[in-house]
Amino acid sequence: MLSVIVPVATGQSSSVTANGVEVIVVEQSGQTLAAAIAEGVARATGSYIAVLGPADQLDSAAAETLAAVFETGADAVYTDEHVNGSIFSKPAFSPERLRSQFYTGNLTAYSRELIERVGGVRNGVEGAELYDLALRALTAAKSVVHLDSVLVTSADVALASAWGTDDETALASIRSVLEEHLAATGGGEVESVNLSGANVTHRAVQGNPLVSIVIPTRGTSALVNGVERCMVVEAVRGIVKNSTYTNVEFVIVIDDVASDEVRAELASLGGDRLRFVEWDQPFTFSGKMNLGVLHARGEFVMLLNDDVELITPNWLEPMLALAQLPKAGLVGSMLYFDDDTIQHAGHAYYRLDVTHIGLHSERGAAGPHDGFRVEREVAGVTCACALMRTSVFIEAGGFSTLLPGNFNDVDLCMKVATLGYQSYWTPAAELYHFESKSRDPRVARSEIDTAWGRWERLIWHSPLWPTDPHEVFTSDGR
Amino acid sequence: MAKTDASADPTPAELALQLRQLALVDRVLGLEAEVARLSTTSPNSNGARDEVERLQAELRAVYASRTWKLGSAVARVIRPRRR
Repeated sequence: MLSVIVPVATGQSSSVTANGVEVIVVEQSGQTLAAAIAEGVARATGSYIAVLGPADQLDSAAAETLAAVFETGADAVYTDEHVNGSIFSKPAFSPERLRSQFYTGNLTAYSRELIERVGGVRNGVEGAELYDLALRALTAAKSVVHLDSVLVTSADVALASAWGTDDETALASIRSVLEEHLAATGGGEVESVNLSGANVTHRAVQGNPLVSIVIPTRGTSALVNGVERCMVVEAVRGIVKNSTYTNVEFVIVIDDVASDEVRAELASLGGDRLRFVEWDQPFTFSGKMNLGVLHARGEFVMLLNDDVELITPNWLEPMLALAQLPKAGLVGSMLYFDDDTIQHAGHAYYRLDVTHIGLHSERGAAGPHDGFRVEREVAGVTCACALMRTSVFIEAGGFSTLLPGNFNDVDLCMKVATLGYQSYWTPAAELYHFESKSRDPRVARSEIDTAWGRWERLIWHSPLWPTDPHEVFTSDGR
Repeated sequence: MAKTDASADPTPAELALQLRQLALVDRVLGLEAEVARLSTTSPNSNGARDEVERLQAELRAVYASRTWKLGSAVARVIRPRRR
């Protein structure tokens, strides 16, 4: 049976069972919220336990639906919720996203065994009791299941606020529990916290590994904002002058048509950290990248297009920290077109369409439920700018030469995923990507056949981005 | 000055072998993905069964090939040595 604990600031304690749900109301009576929840857990007779606020409304099907999932062996289940007039369709379990956002929210149910195993709700974290429980319990859980059913309508007022916890205390508690969680799960730092939305947290870079930045290029120029520029030269210049992570080498896979002037300028910028790998065959992005990576000496490779420009100087650190996570696959960044609209905030698949999350949304837009503002797990990323362990690239067979110009990054991400690696995306690394200036829009029929032949079964939807990825958002929240 | 050559760079023979190995791994993962797709989307149709059998035969041939075995062994050795 599901037991739902409802702490109330005013009112009487009671226990009622209806529709298969045991509702345990716990009154404040001068005790802390943590103590009230602990009292509720002690009084509960159900095998699964959730905590809701007094104004939250549980769907009548919740008990039966949750019980069916728990019977499959899950020890924690969270559902979609109706909140602030819209449905929050949540992603599949995303531990890295959880450290930036308490997205599991309502309704999260835990097995009694799990709650007891992690020591229950803690005192001393006023205003962050449930976030703290989620961080500790979901990290310790053997199986966390996302149920894509809306089983609760949540009130506008958070439980802690209704309990009377002031904002300053709550913010301090959120920071504290996040710092503790990061320390316990590999390290990291809390940059800022927020009562209602995204917290800015980052993983910490371990050591100072060499990153090989592999850039395929023909050394061509294009007009950007009315100014003609050699794309690869400006990309390298921006990194050399601005990147705060400096243990890098450049592997420039360069066509034989590139001019001596371009080569000389690149050599001048990169010095002994830059090597040329000559390419004298017809263009193939996959072939050039594979050749470049085989020349890379770094433990990590940054797969980078030549038509990018760095925005955030500390771009590599957040990407590298994610790429260093156990079983990390590719790590992508936030890319903007030159008109300051989003080009890429991760890949998503929707009804056999492969697309960029956030495409054409305004820079600064939060996205659905702050999705553009939080580091998170993704199905894939564009390899216009992607970081990964060199060994993982090799293990996955690199880019498929059957996909010389298109879908090669989707394919690589899929291969990496089937090998058991998880890809990530971070908004903390921002670059311009002048894709329209350089991209050949032609797609070969054979590329579609190959990519869809391999992965059609996996591109119906993205459990990590369950809403329509084509939605366009403005910076004022629409 | 930028380097155009370096002693730590792979030799042409090593490169050719490593590129071949990458391509083989890619083909294997691709074939496995195709088999999985056919097995889940239309597992009972005659056409799908024939295609699955054909792809599985291709996979067995790759696993058994000298290039695959040699490439796997050499790739394991070469990459750590270069770093």
